[in-house]
Amino acid sequence: MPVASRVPLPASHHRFLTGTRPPSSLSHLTSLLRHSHHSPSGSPCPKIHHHRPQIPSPGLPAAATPAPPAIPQHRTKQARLPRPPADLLSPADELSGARACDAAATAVMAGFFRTGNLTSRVFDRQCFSPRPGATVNTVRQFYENLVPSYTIYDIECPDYSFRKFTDDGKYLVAFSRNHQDLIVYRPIWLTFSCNEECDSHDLPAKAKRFDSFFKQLYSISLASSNEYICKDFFLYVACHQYGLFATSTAQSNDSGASEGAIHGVPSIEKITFHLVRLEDGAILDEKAFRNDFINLAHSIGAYLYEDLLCIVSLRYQTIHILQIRDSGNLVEVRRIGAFCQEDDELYLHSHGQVAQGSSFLPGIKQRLLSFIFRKTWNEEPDQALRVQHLKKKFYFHFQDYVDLIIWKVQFLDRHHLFIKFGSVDGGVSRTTDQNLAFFAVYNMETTEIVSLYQNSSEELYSLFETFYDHFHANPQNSLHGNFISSHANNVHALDQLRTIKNKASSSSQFVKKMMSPLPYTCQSQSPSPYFDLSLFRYDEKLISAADRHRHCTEHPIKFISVKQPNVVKFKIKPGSDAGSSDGRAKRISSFLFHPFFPLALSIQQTYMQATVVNVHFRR
Amino acid sequence: MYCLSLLEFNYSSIAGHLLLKKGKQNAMLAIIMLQSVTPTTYIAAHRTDPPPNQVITTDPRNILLRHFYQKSENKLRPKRAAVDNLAPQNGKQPRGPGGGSQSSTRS
Repeated sequence: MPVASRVPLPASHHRFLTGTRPPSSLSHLTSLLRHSHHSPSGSPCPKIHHHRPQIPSPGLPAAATPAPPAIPQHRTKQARLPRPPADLLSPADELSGARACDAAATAVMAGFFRTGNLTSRVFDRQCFSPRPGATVNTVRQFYENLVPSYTIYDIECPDYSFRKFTDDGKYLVAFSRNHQDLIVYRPIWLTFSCNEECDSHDLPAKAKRFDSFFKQLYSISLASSNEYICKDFFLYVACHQYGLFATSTAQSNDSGASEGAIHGVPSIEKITFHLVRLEDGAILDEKAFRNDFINLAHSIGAYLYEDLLCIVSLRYQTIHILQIRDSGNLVEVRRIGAFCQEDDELYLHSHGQVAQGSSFLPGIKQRLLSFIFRKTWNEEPDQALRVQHLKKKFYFHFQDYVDLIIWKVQFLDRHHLFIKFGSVDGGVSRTTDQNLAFFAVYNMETTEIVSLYQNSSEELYSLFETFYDHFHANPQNSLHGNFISSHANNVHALDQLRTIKNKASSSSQFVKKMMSPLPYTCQSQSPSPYFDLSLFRYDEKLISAADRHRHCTEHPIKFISVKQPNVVKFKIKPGSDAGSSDGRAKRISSFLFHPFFPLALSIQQTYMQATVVNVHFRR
Repeated sequence: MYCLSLLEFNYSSIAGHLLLKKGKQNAMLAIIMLQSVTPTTYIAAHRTDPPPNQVITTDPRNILLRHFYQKSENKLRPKRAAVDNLAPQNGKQPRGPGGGSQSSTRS
């Protein structure tokens, strides 16, 4: 039989729980009892379930108790201890009770925690349970108290280019300056001991080392003599702790025309993808693409979803779907482009019609054209006008549709791809928003195109606005990866989006601009809670969750608390402490935040000068 | 055991409260009434069994994909009902590209 443990409650809790106003009607009593069944035995604090309305149990004799009062409608939808009927309280009692009730309600309303004090928040976490389904969001509020406020400027570190913390926080990936070696560190926390009297305000010099925070695990050579590691490319398979890296030879712009290749796209002699087990640095598998072009910058050309990897070969207009097996092998499971189904090639060859040249359009293009045809056909219900409509909408633009090429692909789930089609001149470079583009949803199993939208489509924009998180939802995300702030899950981000929308002069230009990040680039946003827009406000031009290089400013970047609008919680200042004397040199900075520790690296690179690395952590 | 303790706590606090405010007799009356009332159970008057061949499954597609499928089905379904509405306007100008803001047309 479990024994209720006696834990001394803080005084304020005592008043809140025992109350000066006991519940007096049986209906409230039975509902409280119903709630009490869910609390774990041994806890003296009744769990207050915020979302359940008090249901009065029927069948009570009306004469026994006075009619239960209506549940007081607080501004939040929280069920509270009900107020007793008026005849049981003296007037003075009622007022003070009401005031206490409202005060407590206001405090709880301001957030789950009643104050900003860390200790009081720990007590609150003991006693109250968060709203159902909002545990992570509630617990994340502790990051307001634990901030990386201390900076070690210009730390002595090896001259590597640090790429990223892995999303589970176990590794820091870096590449050597000659782009041929991979170095992996493990983030640790600093520990030091002092023989003499330690200065409480400053760390001893021996603690301020790169080795205090990062332990080098190994350094392996990925690229051979004429190959270089692509510094921007890195995908992490969290469940097995595999890392996917890419090496390539130099790019040659004079691409000889080869069979199946489209013009206008450069060619790279060899691109190799390496699958490395990050635990010990073993290279598990490699996959090479020869005389091809894959957009490796910022991992745009590849997308990882669970164990499926899709790689877009721009030159041959093929989507390679590879599976990462548990054993570490990269197995090609599908190739979409010229043929959609696996046996298409066999079928066509056996019917002897592919003998002469490329008389057939590629399979995916055929699917696209047939979808546009059927849609245009169905738009016009009148049979007489149908052909005219087709001529205008479909046949007139037929060659333009045929000339579309695949730019970028992502997975929507295991069977559906989200493909961006565009014109040839916009595909290779960073695209401008003015180009025409189409978005298609393609089902790999049925090889059908489910829907097709132009990049200025209002319909697609409404889906983008409401369901943006489903464009990058990955069931194997780490706990923090599912809570990256976006306008679909955060009211502050949605406000920002609405502001931009209202200020936009042209609706279609606005929609095109918003659509330009689609399809989503895999693992491009840091899951760190310090970028959570419900906790902190920061200047998005200077720093954000997306890992891109940004221009440096002289002033430190402030992270301001959202709940207390004038309080700067912490500052991140890249560059050295004294600032740079040369104001004209072009400086770019990048920031690496650990997914869940209060630890961040800021790296400032100046042209023709040494790189400055700062470590920001909570001391 | 925990719910029992809550019950006792509430009774005692109610009794104590009533005692302080309203006197001993009312307190005793309230306790007797609270202890003797039991809530009635609800018994359904109709059959509540599910239909015999009901199978509840989860749609494996996420909501974004469901929207894509739904919108494309609406577009690809030939609009038979609209033919009757358009009949009187048959002689006039045909439906222009203005109504095609949702279709994939070149701007």
